[in-house]
Amino acid sequence: MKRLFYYLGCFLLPFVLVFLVGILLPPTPRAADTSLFTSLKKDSLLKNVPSRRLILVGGSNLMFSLNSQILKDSLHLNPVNTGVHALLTLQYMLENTIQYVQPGDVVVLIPEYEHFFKDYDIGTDELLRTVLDVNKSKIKLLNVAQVYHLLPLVPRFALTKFKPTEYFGTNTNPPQYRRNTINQYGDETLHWTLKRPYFAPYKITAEYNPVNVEMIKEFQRKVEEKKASFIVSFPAYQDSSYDNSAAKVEMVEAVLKQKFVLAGSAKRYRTVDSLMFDTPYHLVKTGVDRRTEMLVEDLRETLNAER
Amino acid sequence: MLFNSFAFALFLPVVFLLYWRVTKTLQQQNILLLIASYFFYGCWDWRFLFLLAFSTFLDFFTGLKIMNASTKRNKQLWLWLSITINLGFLGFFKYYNFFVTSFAEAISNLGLHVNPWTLSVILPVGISFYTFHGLSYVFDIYRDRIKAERNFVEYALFVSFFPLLVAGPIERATHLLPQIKEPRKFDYTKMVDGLRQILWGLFKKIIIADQSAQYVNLIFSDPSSFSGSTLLLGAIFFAFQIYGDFSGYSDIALGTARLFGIELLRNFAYPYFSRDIAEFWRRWHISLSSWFRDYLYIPLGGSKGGTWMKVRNTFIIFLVSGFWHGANWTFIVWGALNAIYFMPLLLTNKNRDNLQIVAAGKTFPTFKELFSMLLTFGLTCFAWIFFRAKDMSHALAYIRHMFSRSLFSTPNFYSINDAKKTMLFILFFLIVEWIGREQPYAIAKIGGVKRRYIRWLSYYAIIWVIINYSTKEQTFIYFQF
Repeated sequence: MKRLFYYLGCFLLPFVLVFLVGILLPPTPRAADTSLFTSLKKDSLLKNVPSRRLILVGGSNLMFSLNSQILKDSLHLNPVNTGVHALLTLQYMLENTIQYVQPGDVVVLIPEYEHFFKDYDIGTDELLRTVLDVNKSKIKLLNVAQVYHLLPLVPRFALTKFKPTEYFGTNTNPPQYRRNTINQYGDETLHWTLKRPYFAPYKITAEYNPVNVEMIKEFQRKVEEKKASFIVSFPAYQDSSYDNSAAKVEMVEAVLKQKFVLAGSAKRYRTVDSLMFDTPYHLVKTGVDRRTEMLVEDLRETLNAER
Repeated sequence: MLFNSFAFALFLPVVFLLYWRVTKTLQQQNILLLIASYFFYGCWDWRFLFLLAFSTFLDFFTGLKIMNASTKRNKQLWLWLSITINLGFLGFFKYYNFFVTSFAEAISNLGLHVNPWTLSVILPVGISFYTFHGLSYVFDIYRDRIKAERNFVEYALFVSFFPLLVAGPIERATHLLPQIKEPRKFDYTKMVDGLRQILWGLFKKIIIADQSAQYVNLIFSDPSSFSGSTLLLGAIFFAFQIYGDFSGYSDIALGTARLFGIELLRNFAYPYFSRDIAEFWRRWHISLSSWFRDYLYIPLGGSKGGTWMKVRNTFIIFLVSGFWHGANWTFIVWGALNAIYFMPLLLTNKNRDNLQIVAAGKTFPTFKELFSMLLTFGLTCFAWIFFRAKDMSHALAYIRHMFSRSLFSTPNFYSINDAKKTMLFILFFLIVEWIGREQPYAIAKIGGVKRRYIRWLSYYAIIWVIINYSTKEQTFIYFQF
């Protein structure tokens, strides 16, 4: 038995060393040029944009589908678009945002529908890369379950540091998913000029997961404690994806309606397929403006009602 | 708890250490394995533990009753009680909705309308496997092949031993129970061999099956939007997905059991190198095929009667085998198709022509062997379409679109470039399997390489590929059966 453990130890030692070095090495040039790194700029916006602010929290449905200039001009608030990627999980997004909320802020949460279904509260490679590559100090924002689920992904993450393609050759990452494509508010604007690629509509198949609703309630409590306002709204969602998961989308809406102040409705933000860019949540420029104008109307109405 | 999960990677070393370091006697080892097995099974849904415990107790009890029965009639009575309850549970959980809806459809064809009373029953994981374990045990007692077990812990471990609990191999009491009763000693070579087989199983599951699954799911989701050649490619990908998935699972199960000093029945023996369908069925899901042979085909008369009897019995076992996989007409058609493939061999007495592995002792097969293998693989792929389809209309639509003019075009779908990488993995996999085809599993030979650094470099390469190309943790296809 000792022999087995001795040889197993010797066999696994190089792996452990490679993994450790991989974690400690700085991000590769390829990794450092992805949209995940926009969160550095977004954190800086959260820190430095003066009051009174409109903080938009959610996944890439915000980053790729909002024109914050319109929001600023219409609502006279300073927008901060914090959206990066839905798979960063609501837990992480909310924990990160709450650190920066100030009195008088208007916090608008627009989660993707998938956030309310199983597995979207756990996180995957994107979250791991964010806490190990983008900003290691953010590890503290993860909960125990997330750490447990992310641990098996560490070896693959570490090995990417030793891939030659991460350092040399052409960057095949689509241009809109790179680091320097966001404007001063955090909106991704490069894709406004790009051609729409093909993508398949989504279908939500996972089971409902009530965890995130409770998490949002807790976030709301913390936001209100900081004398800021809290509103929930809906993402622009592709028609065919909506049809594929209509019952689930409407169930999410019903749950949210019971517990939060809502701006707009799920149906209102349904968007024709021709206005979608490369996922059911990313809009082309016309769609971005249309969606932003709807959001302006809904926020105006909700804020007026709150007063 | 999946074999390819982080939870299992924590669970296995803990049980292994407790088993070899803490327990002192055989009794303690068996109790530990039994507790670990129930914990493992309870991780899916703790409610199913009651069903497993009941099924175990039922067969333990009826086994004793059969053995101690004074008359043949009493023996039969207890046997039928066990069969009825076992199949009753299986039927309820697995087939109730199928029978009710099929009956309602049949009635509606006669112009009558009934509202079928279906239930939203969750299928307990592994029920088909442990029910068959139990049934083989009582059948063997009934036929005086074995004596009934008097030690409940040992019998319960035979039924629930965690490596085989949820997807087999379907063990026999004659093979597994004696191993459970014998003291087991730590054997370094066996341990390393077990770990090596687990590694190969993980490669099959994570690289071959899970990678193929991405394209299978895409292509099968909407056959009408793909060319015939893409659909053909989808069927081939599925052939490798199901093989990688199930044989990968079996390799992990066998390797894991070996870590505890237990040898399980072999379940796969390079089925895609078969030269005819009869050989395929001697190499695919061996523990199920042999179960049906021993407990259904032979009791029905086997091949002893005339031609009609052979044909009838062959059709019965293939249809039942199809139905065992699930309550869907697609599985029954899959079974029937295989029976039809089998018929020419049976009627010309050629079903036992290819008993040895192809091209044994040679590097390459002959052209005739290669042609036979490709033909058998083609027939198998065609049958897999029914196995994978969600219903009959889906399968027929798939086949109709596949055999269109676009069958001769170049396959094309939006992730074709990623699929090419998977094809390379499959090619590599086939080469390794071909080289190792005379071994119990493809990379067993590496254990015989004298230089440690060569062995270790091979393992490092496999682990590197697994880590680098793993996708999201996916469940095993056979868990649904």
